[in-house]
Amino acid sequence: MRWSLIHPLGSERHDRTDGKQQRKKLEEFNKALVASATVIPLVTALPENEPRKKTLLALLQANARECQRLKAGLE
Amino acid sequence: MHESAKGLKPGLNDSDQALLAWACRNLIELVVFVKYVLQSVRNAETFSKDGIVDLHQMIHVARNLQKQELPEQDGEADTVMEFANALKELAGISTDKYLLAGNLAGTVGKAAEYAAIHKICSKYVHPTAFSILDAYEEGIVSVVNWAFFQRGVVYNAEICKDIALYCVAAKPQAV
Repeated sequence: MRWSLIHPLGSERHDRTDGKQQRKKLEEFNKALVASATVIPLVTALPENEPRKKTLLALLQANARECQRLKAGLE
Repeated sequence: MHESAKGLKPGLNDSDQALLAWACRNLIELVVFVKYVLQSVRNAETFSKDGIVDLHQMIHVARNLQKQELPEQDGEADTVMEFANALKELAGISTDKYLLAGNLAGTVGKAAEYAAIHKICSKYVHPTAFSILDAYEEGIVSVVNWAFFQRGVVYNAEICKDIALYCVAAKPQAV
């Protein structure tokens, strides 16, 4: 399978074993967690009668679970 | 990889390929559902009611299995089925089909990406011949693991961005 088929940024290659890649993984994961943590208060701040509020919170919780799964996959 | 099989991959890095594939696949499904819910209030309502369709379907198949395996307890299963039917009717649901991210992907502009990523991830999620025989080849494992991880992070960012933009736009109108 060619890397470029599934890499989100195209044909960039990474050495799998070096510490740089591990650090990058960790940095990207931390950015993802920050993004999730930032958006949850935005949804909770929506008015209670907002039609999508409950659904969006549930979707964000599902997203957080998948991020944990992603993290667990690397551990 | 199944927990019990972890000891069978010495020499590879510590990544759990099936878990990464699961997460990546689930995240692209969530990307699709988030976009679908944000498209319209009607879509959001359809999505929120979809759990009832799932419940109904589970009860339906469980009832059929029970009829087959324990015919003497038929009455109990029928009572639960009647409850599920009533719940569905109360919610105004007329379909028996639950929402599939794959069917919605086209309506949110993700058809090609969804089809490709879902297929690739599924090869690792399920015990396919490929995942059983070839996936633990060290070279491909590391590249694919990294790709699953990268994709997953991108999907998480997309979900957060879509919801954040919606919240910023929706708040002034709703107040």
